[in-house]
Amino acid sequence: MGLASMISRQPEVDNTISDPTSRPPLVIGQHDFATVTETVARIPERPRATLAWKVSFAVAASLAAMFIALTGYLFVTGIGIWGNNSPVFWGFPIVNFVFWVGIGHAGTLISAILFLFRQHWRTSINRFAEAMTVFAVVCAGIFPAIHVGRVWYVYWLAPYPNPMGMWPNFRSPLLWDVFAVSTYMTVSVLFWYLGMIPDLATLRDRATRPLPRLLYGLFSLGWSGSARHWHRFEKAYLFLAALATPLVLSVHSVVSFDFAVSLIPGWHTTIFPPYFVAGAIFSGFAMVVTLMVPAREFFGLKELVTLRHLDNMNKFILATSFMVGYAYLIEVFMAWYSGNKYELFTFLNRALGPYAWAYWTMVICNVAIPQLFWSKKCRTTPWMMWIIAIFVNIGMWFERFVIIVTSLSRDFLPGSWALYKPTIIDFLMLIGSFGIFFTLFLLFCRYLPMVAMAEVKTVLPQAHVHHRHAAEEHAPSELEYAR
Amino acid sequence: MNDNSHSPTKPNSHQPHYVGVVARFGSPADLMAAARQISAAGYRYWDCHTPFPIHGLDRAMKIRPTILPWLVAGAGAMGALGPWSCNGGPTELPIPSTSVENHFSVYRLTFLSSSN
Repeated sequence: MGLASMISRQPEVDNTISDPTSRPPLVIGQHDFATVTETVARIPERPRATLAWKVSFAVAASLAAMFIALTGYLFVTGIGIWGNNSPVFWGFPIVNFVFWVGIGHAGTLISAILFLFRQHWRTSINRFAEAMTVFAVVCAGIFPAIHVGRVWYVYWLAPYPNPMGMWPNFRSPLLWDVFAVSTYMTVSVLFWYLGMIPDLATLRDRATRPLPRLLYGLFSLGWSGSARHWHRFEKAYLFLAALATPLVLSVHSVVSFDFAVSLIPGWHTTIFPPYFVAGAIFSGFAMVVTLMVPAREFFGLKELVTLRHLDNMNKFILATSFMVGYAYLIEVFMAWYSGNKYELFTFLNRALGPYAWAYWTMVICNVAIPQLFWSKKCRTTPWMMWIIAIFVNIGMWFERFVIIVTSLSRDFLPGSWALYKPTIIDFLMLIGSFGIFFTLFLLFCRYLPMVAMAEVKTVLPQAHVHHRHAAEEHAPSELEYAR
Repeated sequence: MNDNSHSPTKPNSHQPHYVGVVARFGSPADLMAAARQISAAGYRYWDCHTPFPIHGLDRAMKIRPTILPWLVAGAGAMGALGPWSCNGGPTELPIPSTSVENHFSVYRLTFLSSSN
């Protein structure tokens, strides 16, 4: 009883061995089309949620409710309840915004970019990762919306003809963010939903109770699996993947411009767009691993999301850790090489000043700890990769904190220097944003198909048109891959 | 296939009549082969239903390609040209100016003197 019974107890089969003579299986356990459906569809079809889900949802929903209550307090009282003050005018809210919007980019990379690169291993994780993106962008978008002060005028951010004769400042990246993030939100939701339509139709056809049948039926838009439907579906999917791909690069570049177009030392540097995009993919993959390791365990998805999938994601984490580490090094080098005394001071201040604890936390979490992923054992052991991924999440939050707060607390004029004093509301709203994220994510896990069933079926050997029963003899057996 | 299926019997309250044929196949390869046969035989009102897309099936069925690419291109063009024309279109391109005054702007002088 208890926790032990909730864990699926599926054995781990190692399909990470690289054999040049044959492709390793992406789905293990001798699945056919029907068993793939059953593995995924039985999760939303449970009449009652598991105790683990209910407890997690209760915690997440409480934190989300706290966030909403604090937002109400913010609207009524004003920005003074936060720690934003002179000189650190930007604090936790923008750190949280950049943190969440960065996390979203990995989901789009997995969904869109890996699709264009025909990386078939993405099919087990793309639905899950894209859901993470949608909810992360929701959390991200909340912060700029609520931080404006007079939130009842937030519609002024939109360029509409008005009696004041004013337009928003199109020269400001803060406005570009409005368009970039809302475009990203729109495209991500459309892409996620489009991909889900065939699977929602599967749930509709399997539904036995009237309300699920009605709702899944409504959202599956009359899907019948007709070849004509698939023809349009594949074209639309391809276009959304192609449209989402530049967003992965552009959205976080525009977010980095919020800082890079200023004159503040430590901000005004051209490394920011690639540095931020690499950091976004880094933190996003770490969040996917953080969510996926327990999810595959609790929901019994180990045969669809195999060690190979986790191994591949960890390799992405290692690679982007190097890019982020390079950015740290080159920033320091350029600060010295430029001869600009303000720039050099800023980086000495980061490493040795009052926020050195945050800086070194960032370096250890983002550069040192991911080096453990050179070890195959670390890359293919779920509990190890989960701990490393948590450290990366922490490190990436601190990276945004270090960039924003250290540069603002000590910029050009020492007479203006002061430390940042976050209030309890700042901390609680950060925690509350996790509550919103996990509330939405747990609802997704409970009611929607977590794995793209139709796409996973296409990577089974039986799905190939030229597959005959004889081909099953050539498919590598599971025993060859068992540890 | 039975020859009688080409000429359905007249509708009659006592006699059943064929309105169509449904067939179920065990593998994508079998479905493709059947699709090619049906398409070659000239049938027009038919379809294939699959739980996942099968590569090449739409070509085998001679499905007319969707106009979606043209719609996306049109929407993309509108999205690019619309705001650009609001900003002035080709008049806002940064074509270098040759007038003397524009090479000595006050803004540029102050920027040059403030560096370091």
